[in-house]
Amino acid sequence: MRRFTPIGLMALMALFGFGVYHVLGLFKSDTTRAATKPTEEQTHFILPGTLYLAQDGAIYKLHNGHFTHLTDDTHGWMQPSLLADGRLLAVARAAQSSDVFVVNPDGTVAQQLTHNAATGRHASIDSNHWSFYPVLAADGATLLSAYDSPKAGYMVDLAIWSRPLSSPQSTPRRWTSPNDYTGGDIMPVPLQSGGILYVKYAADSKERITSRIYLQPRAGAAGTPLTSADDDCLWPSVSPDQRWVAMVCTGASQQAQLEVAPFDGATLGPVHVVVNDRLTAAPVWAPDGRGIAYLAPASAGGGFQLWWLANPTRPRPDQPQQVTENLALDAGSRPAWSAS
Amino acid sequence: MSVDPRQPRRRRAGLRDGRKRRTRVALLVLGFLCSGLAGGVAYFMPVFSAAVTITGHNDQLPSGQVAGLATSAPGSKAPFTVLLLGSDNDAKFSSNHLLTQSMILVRVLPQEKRVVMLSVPRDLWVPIAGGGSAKIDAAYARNGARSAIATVEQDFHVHIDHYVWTGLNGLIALIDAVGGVDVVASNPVMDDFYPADIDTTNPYAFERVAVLPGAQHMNGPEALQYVRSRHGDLREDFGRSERQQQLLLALRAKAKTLSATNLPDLAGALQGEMSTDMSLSQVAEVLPLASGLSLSEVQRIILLPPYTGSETIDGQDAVTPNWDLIRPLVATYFP
Repeated sequence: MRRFTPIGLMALMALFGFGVYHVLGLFKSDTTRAATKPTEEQTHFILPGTLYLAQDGAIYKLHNGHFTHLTDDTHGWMQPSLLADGRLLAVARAAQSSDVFVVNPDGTVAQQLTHNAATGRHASIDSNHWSFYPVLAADGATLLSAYDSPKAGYMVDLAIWSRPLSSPQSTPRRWTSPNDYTGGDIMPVPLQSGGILYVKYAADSKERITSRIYLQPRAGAAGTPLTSADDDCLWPSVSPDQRWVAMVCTGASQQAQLEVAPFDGATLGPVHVVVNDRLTAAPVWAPDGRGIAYLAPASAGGGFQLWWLANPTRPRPDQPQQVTENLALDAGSRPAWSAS
Repeated sequence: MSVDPRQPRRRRAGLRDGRKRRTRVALLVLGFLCSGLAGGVAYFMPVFSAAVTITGHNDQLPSGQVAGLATSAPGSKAPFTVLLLGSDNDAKFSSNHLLTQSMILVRVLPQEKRVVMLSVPRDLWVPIAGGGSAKIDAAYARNGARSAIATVEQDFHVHIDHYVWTGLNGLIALIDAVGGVDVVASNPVMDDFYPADIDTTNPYAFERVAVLPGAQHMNGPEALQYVRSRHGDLREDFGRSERQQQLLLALRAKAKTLSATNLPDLAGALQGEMSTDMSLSQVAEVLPLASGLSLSEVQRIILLPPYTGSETIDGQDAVTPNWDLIRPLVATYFP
C-alpha cells in the first residue's frame, strides 16, 4: 500500500500541472471567445412583438425572449425585412453573387425574386451581380433593393432599383445614379409619400468617400441631401408616424453614433445624439414608435448584440439597455420588427 | 522517582520523525509547485517559441543601423519610428521575392502618448536602394526588410528605428486569434477582380468582394478583403491605405481588451508570419505603450495629390512623388 502512495501523489501532481494549464486558459479575454448561437441564449428582457435577426448566415426569430432558428445555415442568409402578409424578404449571399428571396414564416423559401448568379459555360466572374438591402415599397407591391448595375470593368457600384413583386422577371427600374467608384447608393427606406430615403456615397472636398442621406420623391428624380458629407451618416430609419429619422453617423471616423432628428417629409430638424459610447449599426424603430432597437458590441472589439433605447425623441432619452449577450449578430443586417 | 532509560532515544526518534515529516511535506509542496510551473510553462510555450522566431531580426536592418537602436529603444521614452510592412505571401510569390502591399511609417511619441501614421503608396515610383528605380513595393523583393528600410530612408530622408513585417496569412491569423475586430467600413468596398490567392490551387484566380459599410465585426478573411481591395475605389491605393490605417486602429482597440493568457494563441497564429528586429523586451515595452494611446491622439497621413501625382512609367501605372512637398512633411512628423 505504501508503495502506491508516491505513485498516487505523482499522479496528483501531474493532474495539478494539467489543471494549471487549463485554468490559465479560462482567463482569456471574453472578446476572443466564439459567439454562441442565438438559440442557446436568452435575452435580458423581453421586447414586444417579433424581431428577425441574422447571425452567421442564418436568420433567427426573437419572440417572447426566445430565439428560434428560422432558416438553414447553408445559404448565407442576411438582411431580413417584412412583407405585409407576415412573410419575409431576405438576401441569400453566395461567394460571387447574392439574391433576394421571399421566405415563409416557417423559414422555407417561397420564391426567388432575383437571379444574379452568372450561368453558362463561358460566363465570366464579373457577369455575377449583387442584390442587397431588400425592402417593400410603400405601395406594398414593389421590391426596392440595391443592385450593382450598370457596371463596367473595375467599376462596381450599387444603385437603388425597384421591381414588381408580382412579376419579378419584368424589367427592373433604376431609381438612382450612383457616383462612380464610390460603392454607390444603398439602404433604401420607403416613405408613405411614395418616395424613399437612401444613402449615397461620394468623394468630398477632403478626398474622402463619405455618405449622405438623400430624399428622392420618385424613380429617376433628383435627390435632395438631408445630411452633410462631414456627418457621414448611414442606416436611415423612419419612425412609424414618419415624424422622426434615426441614423448612424460616423463623422468620417472610426466612431458610429446613433442620432435622431425630426423629419417633416422634406428636411431634417436639429439632430440629437442618443448613443455615442460605442459603435452602433442597423437601427430600427419599434412598431409602436416608442423606442429604437439597434446593434452594438457590448465591449470594444466584441461581437454585435441587440440593444434597446426607449424614448429616443425625448430631450433626455432613457439609458440604452443590452438585450442579448454572447452573440455575433450580423451588423450589416437591420433587424426586421413586427408588432405581432 | 524512576526514569525510563528509553526516553532520550524516543525523543531523538520523535525528532527524526518530525524532520522526516517536514521534509516530506516540503517535497510534496515542491512537487506541486514544479508541476504547476510546468503547466504554466507548457501553456506559454508558444510565446517563448514565437519570441525566438519573430523577434530580434536585426540582421535585416541596413548596416550601421543597429547602433542607433540604443538611443531610440522603446523603453527609453524617446520617440521612435517603426516601418510596418505588409506583404503578399501567397502562392504567386516565392518566399524570398515578395512585394509589399502595405508600407506604413509609424512615429511613436511615448511621453506625449501620441502616434503619427503615414502610408507610403505601394505604386510610388522611387529610386530603390541598391540601384535603379521602380515602384516602392518592389524594394522588399530585392533584399527583404533591409532593402525596404534603406529605400524609405534614402527617399523620404527619415531614420527608421525598427520594422515589423507580416504576410497576408499572418494578418488573417492575427485577427482570428484576437477573435475579430470592430471596424467602421467607410463605404461599400466592391471589387470584381479581387485576387483569390489564399488557400487555393490557382493563385491567379479572382473572386468578387462586397464589403458593406458601417460598423461591423470582421473576422480575418473579411478584414483582409477590406484592407486589400483597391479596384473599385475612386482613390485606388490611397483608399486602401486609409482602410489599412483603420484596421490598425481597430487592432489596437482590440488589443486593449486582451490579457496575458491570450498571448499563446497570438504567438501560435503569428508563427512564421511575422518578423521584427525588436527584441522580446522591447516588444514588451511597446505593448503597454500601445494600450495607453487614445484613438484621438493617432494622426493619420495619406500622400494624396498634390503630394503625389500619377504617370505611366515603363508601361506601368505609377504614383509619382512630389519630394518638395513630401520631405518637409516627413521632416515635421518624423524628425
